[in-house]
Amino acid sequence: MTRKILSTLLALAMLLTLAAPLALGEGTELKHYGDVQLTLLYVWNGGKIAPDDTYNNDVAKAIREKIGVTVAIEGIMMSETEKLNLIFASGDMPDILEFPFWGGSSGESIVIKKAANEGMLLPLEDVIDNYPNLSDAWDVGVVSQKFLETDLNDPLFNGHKYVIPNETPGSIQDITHWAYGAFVRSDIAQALGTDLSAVKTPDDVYNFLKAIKEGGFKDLNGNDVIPASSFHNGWGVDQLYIGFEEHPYFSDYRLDAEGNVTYRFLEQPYLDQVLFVRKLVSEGLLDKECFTTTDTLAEQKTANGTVAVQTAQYSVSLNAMKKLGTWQTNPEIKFTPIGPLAYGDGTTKVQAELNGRNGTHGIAFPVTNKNLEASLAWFDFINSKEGVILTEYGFEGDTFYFNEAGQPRWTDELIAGKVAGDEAQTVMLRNRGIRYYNIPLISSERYLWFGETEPGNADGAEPLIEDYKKLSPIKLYDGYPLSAVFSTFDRQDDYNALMAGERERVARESAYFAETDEEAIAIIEEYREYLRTGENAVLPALLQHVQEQLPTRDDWLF
Amino acid sequence: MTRQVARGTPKAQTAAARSRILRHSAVYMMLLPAVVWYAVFCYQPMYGVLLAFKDYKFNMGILRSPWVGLKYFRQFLFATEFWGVIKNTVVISALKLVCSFPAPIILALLLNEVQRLKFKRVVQTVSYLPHFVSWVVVYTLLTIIFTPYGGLVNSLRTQTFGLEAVYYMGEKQYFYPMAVLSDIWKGVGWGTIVYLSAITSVSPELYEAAIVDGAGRMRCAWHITLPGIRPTISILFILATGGILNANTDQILLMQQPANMSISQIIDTYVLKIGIREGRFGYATAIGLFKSVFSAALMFMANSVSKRVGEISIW
Repeated sequence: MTRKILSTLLALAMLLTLAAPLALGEGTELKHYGDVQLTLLYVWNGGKIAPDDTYNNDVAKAIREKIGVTVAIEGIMMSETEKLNLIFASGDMPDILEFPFWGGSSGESIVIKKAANEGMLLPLEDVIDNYPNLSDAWDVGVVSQKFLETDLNDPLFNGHKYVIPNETPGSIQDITHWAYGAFVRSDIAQALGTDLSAVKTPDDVYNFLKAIKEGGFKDLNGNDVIPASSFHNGWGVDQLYIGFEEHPYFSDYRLDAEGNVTYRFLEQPYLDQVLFVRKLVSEGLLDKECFTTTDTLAEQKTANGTVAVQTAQYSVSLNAMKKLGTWQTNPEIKFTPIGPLAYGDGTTKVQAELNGRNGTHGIAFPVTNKNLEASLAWFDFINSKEGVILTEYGFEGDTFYFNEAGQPRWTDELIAGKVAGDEAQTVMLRNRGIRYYNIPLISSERYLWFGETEPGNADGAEPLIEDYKKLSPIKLYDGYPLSAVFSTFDRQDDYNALMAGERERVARESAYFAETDEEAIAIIEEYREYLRTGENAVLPALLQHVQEQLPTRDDWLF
Repeated sequence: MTRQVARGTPKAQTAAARSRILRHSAVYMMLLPAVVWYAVFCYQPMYGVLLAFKDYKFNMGILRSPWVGLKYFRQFLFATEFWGVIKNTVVISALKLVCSFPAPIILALLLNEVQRLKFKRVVQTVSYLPHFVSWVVVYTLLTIIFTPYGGLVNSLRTQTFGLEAVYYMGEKQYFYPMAVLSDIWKGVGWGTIVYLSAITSVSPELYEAAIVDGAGRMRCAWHITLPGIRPTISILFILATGGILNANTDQILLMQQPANMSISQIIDTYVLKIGIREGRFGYATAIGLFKSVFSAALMFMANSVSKRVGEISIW
């Protein structure tokens, strides 16, 4: 009997051993498609720089040898929503689209859903199970229950699946930590003698910036420093005023003291935040040009030390210094974190993440796609372990080696280039196709597989950034975001029209530049009146709808 | 009947026209690309105005999408921003009409008085150059020159005169001057071409007679040159009136800043942001059609006034 059990267990173990690579997509016979050439439009404003040769670079050749499919990726330099609209309206569609899919009433999601409902996208539910590295894209945990129910499986899709969520972490360790915050020039912080860890509240930020202004500091060219700034179009300014939010929010709805659902832009903290930024602008503490600046100009201001406090992602500031050479020539100005700042409830700022993505990148296939099977096979391959190693690490013995744990690691030379921010190395790798095809990773488990989320991170990560990540860590939240209620609201078109055209941003930024607080309040009140009455008072109707839905669950996340 | 006799029968007229065309076939061939261009890019897309009355569906195209009547016109007329964008467009255009329209006339009159041909040509060429610079480049130059953080103008203000730096490109009160002045700088030279060619058609005998009568340069310019080019000025003015709702999208879009949005949001930037960017093609087309009809009406009015007052008109 014991022998029988043992032999059964042994047989099972052997079976499992055989099946394991299959589950990872390894060891399966890959179909060869001859020479299928496809186009992928990467619909993210800012572009995607392509290799000199998208067909004959080393990685493309290796993939083609394997499965007979070549994909040329092209980027855009315009609004994502506008581009998607133009693509579908003109009928001039690429084979594959990769785009922001934040769900709910976000502009890009509205266009994609409209395109799907109007027959412009191919349904995937009948074919996706043939691709083991893609089929878990819709698993709860990889995506959130709410995202799945209200966006990926939107009730209007009638049971079809049109969008593959990608750039989705398959494990907690695989969540990208963006290291957002506010960072000050080290030499200025030292000269002021401020305890940076004690800068927590908006008042602390104000006093700190004021001290910088009064300090009369100069940049590397002898010009006056600007106390605080941001990257393109004000990207990162919000890091200075997170204290006006009680805690991280996952929707724009708020609950007032009486238990009524209200809207973020109608609440006092929003107005306080606007007046705070107006004060910074009017007192010369915040760069007046930052709301319309470009990343190129912002990089110059950062690298030259013209900006004393820079915001957004930590790596962007440090990379600007590396790119423009001041990392080597003027190490004394290296930016260092402030705080981390705190929320209104006093807790330290974190990178708040839902358990499972609530919005992410999406992949869809227009009806003009030349070969859906080959397209999916390509994604399946580049999402396999073998595919990730090829597209991320390149070629064994040339650009990477396997360490003792069997994990791929870039060569020392490439690591050194990465640490130094070597632009020529980036170009060289891109022209070989390395890290060019790496965007659309689905349920990525790079950390679990390789012990690092991207090449060079294990050995060449910037210590300053790694230290900051520990101070302001990732925090996972369970629950069901209240924004999901929108999917059952019957006046979605009215609401979308109400929110169209960045009216909130226009009102808010106009208020920042108002002559007086009263004028700023008047601008915000005018916008609020528009919210209350615009499109036949759709917002009050939506809030009423949300209020009615509140009792249906007890795990709402505001 | 008399007319018909005078001009010949329709058959004879057609034959005459055919022979005329054949005789000048080379000239007509030169005209052909322009005709094709207008047909393809101006007349063929005109069926797109149907979008203003349709609920556009990606898969149905313009013709098969369902009709919605005047829905989008009503939406625009009752939009919160309606009066704001109309006012901003008209104010900016009117300012440009008042300031930018006379500028090339004045420059043309000045150039006409320059005696040294070489100098005149250099000035002309230099003044044409900004026309070929895109608004993106112009805006970037302006930003660099006027930035409050080390820009040329502000460095002068702060270092030489000890004044506070001013954010010229961002503050509301500087929007109109910056918009109008940059418009003049970019267009004045190019605009002189038409006037200079009109001036050459003024008879030199008139100047000679005026000089004999003791007229100086100013009087010659005022009493001979200006009246001589009046028809050209009037026609260009009528055309400019028709474009009063065109405030130059490229320029204004680039110059829009948070602080000046309340006065810089014009019809075209509104259409771009609220209509096209959001995929509301029907709404965007309705506004475009509204603008075209309004502009055409204005042009008809200006033409009619010009005809009555100055006996000069386009038709």
